[in-house]
Amino acid sequence: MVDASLLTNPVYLLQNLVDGLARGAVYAVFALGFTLIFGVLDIVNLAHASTFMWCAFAGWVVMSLLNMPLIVGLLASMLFGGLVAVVLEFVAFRPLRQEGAERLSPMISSIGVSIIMVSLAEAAFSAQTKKFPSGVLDPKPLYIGGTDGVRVSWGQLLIVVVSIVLMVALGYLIRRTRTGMAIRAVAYSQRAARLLGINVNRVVVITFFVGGVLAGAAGILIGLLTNNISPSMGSDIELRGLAVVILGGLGNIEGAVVGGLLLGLVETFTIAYFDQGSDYKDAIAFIILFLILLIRPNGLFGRQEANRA
Amino acid sequence: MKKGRVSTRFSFLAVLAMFSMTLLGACGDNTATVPAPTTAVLPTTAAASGATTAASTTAAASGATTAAAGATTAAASGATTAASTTAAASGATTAAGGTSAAASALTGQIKIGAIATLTGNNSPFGIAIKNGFDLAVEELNNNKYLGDATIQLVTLDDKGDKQEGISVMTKLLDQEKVVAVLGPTLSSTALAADPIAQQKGIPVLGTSNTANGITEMGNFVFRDSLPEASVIPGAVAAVSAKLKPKKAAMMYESTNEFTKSADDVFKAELQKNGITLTGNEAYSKGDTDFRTQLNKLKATSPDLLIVSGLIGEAVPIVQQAREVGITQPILGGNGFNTPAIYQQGKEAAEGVIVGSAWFLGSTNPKSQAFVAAYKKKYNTDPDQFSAQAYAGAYLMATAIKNANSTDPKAIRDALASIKNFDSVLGTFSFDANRNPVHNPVVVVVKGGKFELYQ
Amino acid sequence: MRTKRTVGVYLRYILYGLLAVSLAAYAIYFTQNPNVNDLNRFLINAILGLSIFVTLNTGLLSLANAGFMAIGAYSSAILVAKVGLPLFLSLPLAMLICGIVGLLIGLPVLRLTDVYLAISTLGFGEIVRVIIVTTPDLTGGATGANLSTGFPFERMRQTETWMLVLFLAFLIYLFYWLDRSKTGRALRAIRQNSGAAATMGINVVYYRNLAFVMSAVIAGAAGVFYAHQIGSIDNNDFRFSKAVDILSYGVLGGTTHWFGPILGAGLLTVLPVSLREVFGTSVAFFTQLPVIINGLALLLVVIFLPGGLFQPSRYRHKEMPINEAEIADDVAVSKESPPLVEGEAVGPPADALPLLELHDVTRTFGGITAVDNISFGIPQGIICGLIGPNGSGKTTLLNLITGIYHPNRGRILLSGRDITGLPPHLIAKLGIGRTYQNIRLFNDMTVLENVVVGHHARIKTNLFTTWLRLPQERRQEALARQEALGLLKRLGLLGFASQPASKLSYGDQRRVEIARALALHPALLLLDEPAAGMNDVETALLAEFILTLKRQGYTVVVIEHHIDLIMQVSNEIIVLNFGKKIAQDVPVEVQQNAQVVEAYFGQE
Repeated sequence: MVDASLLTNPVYLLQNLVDGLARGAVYAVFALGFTLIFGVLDIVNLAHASTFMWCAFAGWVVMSLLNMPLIVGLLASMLFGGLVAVVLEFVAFRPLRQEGAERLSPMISSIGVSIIMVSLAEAAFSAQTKKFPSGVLDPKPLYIGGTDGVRVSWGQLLIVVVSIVLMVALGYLIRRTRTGMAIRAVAYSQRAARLLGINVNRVVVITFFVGGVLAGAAGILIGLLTNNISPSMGSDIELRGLAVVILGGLGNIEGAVVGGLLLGLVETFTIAYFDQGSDYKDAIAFIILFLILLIRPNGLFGRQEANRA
Repeated sequence: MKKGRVSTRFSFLAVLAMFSMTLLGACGDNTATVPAPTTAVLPTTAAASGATTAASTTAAASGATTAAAGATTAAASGATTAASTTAAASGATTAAGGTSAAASALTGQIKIGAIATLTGNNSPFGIAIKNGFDLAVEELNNNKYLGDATIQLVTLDDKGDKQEGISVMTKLLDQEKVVAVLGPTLSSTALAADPIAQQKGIPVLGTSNTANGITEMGNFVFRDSLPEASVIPGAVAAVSAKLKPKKAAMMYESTNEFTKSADDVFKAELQKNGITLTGNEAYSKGDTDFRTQLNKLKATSPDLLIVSGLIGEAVPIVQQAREVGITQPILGGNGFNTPAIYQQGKEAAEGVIVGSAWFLGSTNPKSQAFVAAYKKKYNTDPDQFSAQAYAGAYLMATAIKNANSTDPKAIRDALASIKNFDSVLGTFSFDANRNPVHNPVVVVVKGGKFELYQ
Repeated sequence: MRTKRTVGVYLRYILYGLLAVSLAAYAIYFTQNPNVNDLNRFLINAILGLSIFVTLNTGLLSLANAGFMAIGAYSSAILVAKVGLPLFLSLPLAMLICGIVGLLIGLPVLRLTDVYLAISTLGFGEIVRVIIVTTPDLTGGATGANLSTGFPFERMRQTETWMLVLFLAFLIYLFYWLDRSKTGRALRAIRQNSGAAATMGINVVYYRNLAFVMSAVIAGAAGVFYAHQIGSIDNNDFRFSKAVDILSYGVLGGTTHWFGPILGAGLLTVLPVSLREVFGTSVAFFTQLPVIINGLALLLVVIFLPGGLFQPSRYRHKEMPINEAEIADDVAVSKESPPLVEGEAVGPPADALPLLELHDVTRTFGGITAVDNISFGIPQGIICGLIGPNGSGKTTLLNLITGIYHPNRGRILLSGRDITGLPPHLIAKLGIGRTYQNIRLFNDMTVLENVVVGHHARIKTNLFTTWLRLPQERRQEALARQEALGLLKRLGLLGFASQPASKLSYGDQRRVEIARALALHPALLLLDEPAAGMNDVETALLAEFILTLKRQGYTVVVIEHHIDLIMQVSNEIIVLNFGKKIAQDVPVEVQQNAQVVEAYFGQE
């Protein structure tokens, strides 16, 4: 454990709470689209991280090369993500969605697509890290309770707010709209949905589009927050995103956000309150993933789901 | 199933494919190696057999004649049989084993191999290094640095993969028959590939390998890249003398051998200078949020923050350090020594101190000329990796010149005895362990560029 | 579907063409520059390919192989560099360590199904890397383990081509015989239909673990060779991308035959090498190309060539001559392999204890009670019809009896022995065989193989007899084959013996299922709608066959909608409605039963 004075310092505690939430919000935003596709289509889309990475680059191109403001970059990146995801659906997933195909095939084809996307990004943008133009976000943080109080940067604030807004918006889409109803029906059973007269293929395309839009939002925001855009940025966050999806329960939108925030907090507090904690923080996500799978395969917040086999 | 037809079609396809590939292979090899009009290779066996002239054409592309075979032919059939046409035309006598005349023994094209990481995650380093090599070789050849002889650089990509590194090293030595090798880019690849050069007695000069255990691999392994152990003491001493810090906090990337070993060196140097270490926090490659570690370190109220990391994470660390309110000076490891730190870090990078082998604003005339030439050729500023690569190519050429021979053993000896060479890195020598000796610089970011820290 | 298959055919041409072209280029290159390093790389990758093959062939998508490779590599590095053991001693030790870790990880993880298994094994691989980085004293941490430390000038680069060739040949020997053994059949059966495999007496959990441990051990061996090929290893050698590479060898090359992954490793190793040799490395396009081809091939193969490039099963089903003398005459009385249930010899027993008893068995799913408080007994040697409207719980009842579901309440007894809560494979071994309403044959196997799988529990061989080629192995295998052929003959399926099961008509497939279930020598045979999809002639033959079974002393439970069939063969009929038993009586009485009539025709 660290110094006793830190253990009892309330500002330090609050600060870590804030930093932990912001760290977790990054995971949460990334995990949203991931969990949507996982939950609705039962596909572990390992190309989600590559879509996310390409979206960050799309945002970078729009903002850095074309000198557009953030909002244009955000919209462009979201649209781009949606389109990429729809293309993926047609290329990599739809051909596998039929009787007799093995359940694992989509995961493997998504790995294939992911390999292609990453190497194309390397060819197009080189492996050199890219940065957004400065001045998009004010580098000076906000202080609550004076400069000795708790600090929040604009980027942190943005990502936390966005993660919650996206969660609410996605929740609304899924629960309150006709499209959402169709998506839920497809998630429950594609066969049953088809029998109810739902155009399953259309719903799947919509789901992928929404997932891609979320990847786009995540790509540009995380790129902005960390100011680090490179072809490997997807794979760096992918495994943690997977852990968050599992933690939250597959397809559970709120679960993904809560799971993301929780992972961020646990990592932050491990670093903050344990000696050498930073050495072990990487293991946390995977140990959580492992334990959750072994103890509660439906996730921390997952409902007991009837066997779908 | 019409099996008969299928298999017929298949075998036809395969035969066709093999045939076309054979053709392609032949052309491809030619383009890859550019058949040398003369490839000066000095077989050591020739010396033993007492032949005076034994320049043999080794057509690496066709693979028909190996050096050894050429040498035997030369020895058997007398002095001039196997001498290459240009060598004969230029009238130079190529002597072996150092029994030569005073005149330059170097003619034709001398093949030097280079191994760089040109694809994958680490390609930014490899590309900068390749640029340095190419620029140097171009200059060397234009300025007739080796007299009549020219250097032909054969650059191969190791893709940042150890197995590929071993393969391309073997290819350079066995097939291309290079007399020396520059590279590889990554220390991990060097640790895997250099032993082959050592075993075959070909000198290899790493221009970016800073890990422990590189030159320990053998007496044919050199490097011109100062290991952290040579740069950090100077940097810590300079900072210590000027700022007189009492307490320092550290941050390092724990998943990288280079940053981890630098962290260890920093620790030792702090102790030597009587500075207390208040905390040492790790992070991993690809991390993006460092606030928690920085906040924890801030709580220990250090006078100095030391960061041992690579540039990808260095910029956000510096920015976030300022954000959490660490206003104290930051001392960075070698990874910070790139213009990106102030180009991307902006105001946050102001006052960042870096100990380094070389810096862009160096007043060394050689360095200034290099920077100008590099900028002209590549339209961008060189970084330390390009400079070290450029210096490496010059060192190798100088060794060949001093050896007045293309015998790898002679080049090795000449390389090992280089002392006080006026290089782009400053006055340069190799120590007894084939590690570089030159003065590192300590620079500070001021007004959006590096300045000498004094 | 048609176009898909056509694309698949062309894709196979293209990939084989690519392989041939790269091999040719590599051959030319090799004659010029006999660089064994690339050869060693291929051999190591082939070993890795075999390691993923074992799991893929068992239907497991495990991404743990890079992790096990790391464990093998580091174990050997530590044993060699710190303890001073020679490579050949460190190899078995490292493999043993991997095997133990594989078992410890496998036991919990293999309970998970497909996607979750993949994710958790992926997590395992990352945890291994974190452990490596955080234990610098043992592993060298981030700096890596350098095998040259302490051995100046003499790099411990001990991996030689002959070692790899030898080891690979050894593995191929093991795989060749595994494929033809009880274990190999069990693994393939699990991949194709784990549920049906379990009811054939195959211990699915055991075999999954076996495959996982085998995979771990082989990956560990590859890691050992890798470490000594490179001479210095660090955690970055075993990233997720390595696991993906290994997966590609299997998926691309083929997951149904051991040669597939070797082919896949060949393509993915030789292609970049030949591109390098032909085009050099100065053009970035050609160094990036193999990676893109890898990704593209993975995608296309999964879509158009499921099962991979090399799928010999298509050729394996050539007409296989069947020696008449091979066929066992009367299976049920074959002395060599008596029925497994002790005291349950063929023919009615002396005591009157019912063979199967259910006491108050209840099973609910969510809020629905599928089976509600059912009790009954079935005496030895009768044929019992089980009827009821759709959704009345008949199949659920069968699933409860065979252990696929466990009852929430109540007990199930087989000849007095409580079998409640036992796993399906044990219940199968105790003497309950079954068929499925929706046919669950092992589609990629021949009809004969399907029936041989039914003999699983009674074939007394194991991996040692398989690999050491003990006489017992051949005897047992021949016997199983004879018996299986005998069963096929009795069911009139002899002509289909060497055809893939999936090629048969519906009715024929149902009969194969019956043959497969009979191979267990069950005391009790449960037939779930055996006549569905059969025409009248076939149905009549089936009725005749069921009666023959009864004469031979089998006890049979038949679920059927063909009331005629039920009335014809049954001694007793049990009627279910809404999960409740509403009648149990002789056929004539059941026909008169008011409740039954109401259940079927509604209230009048």
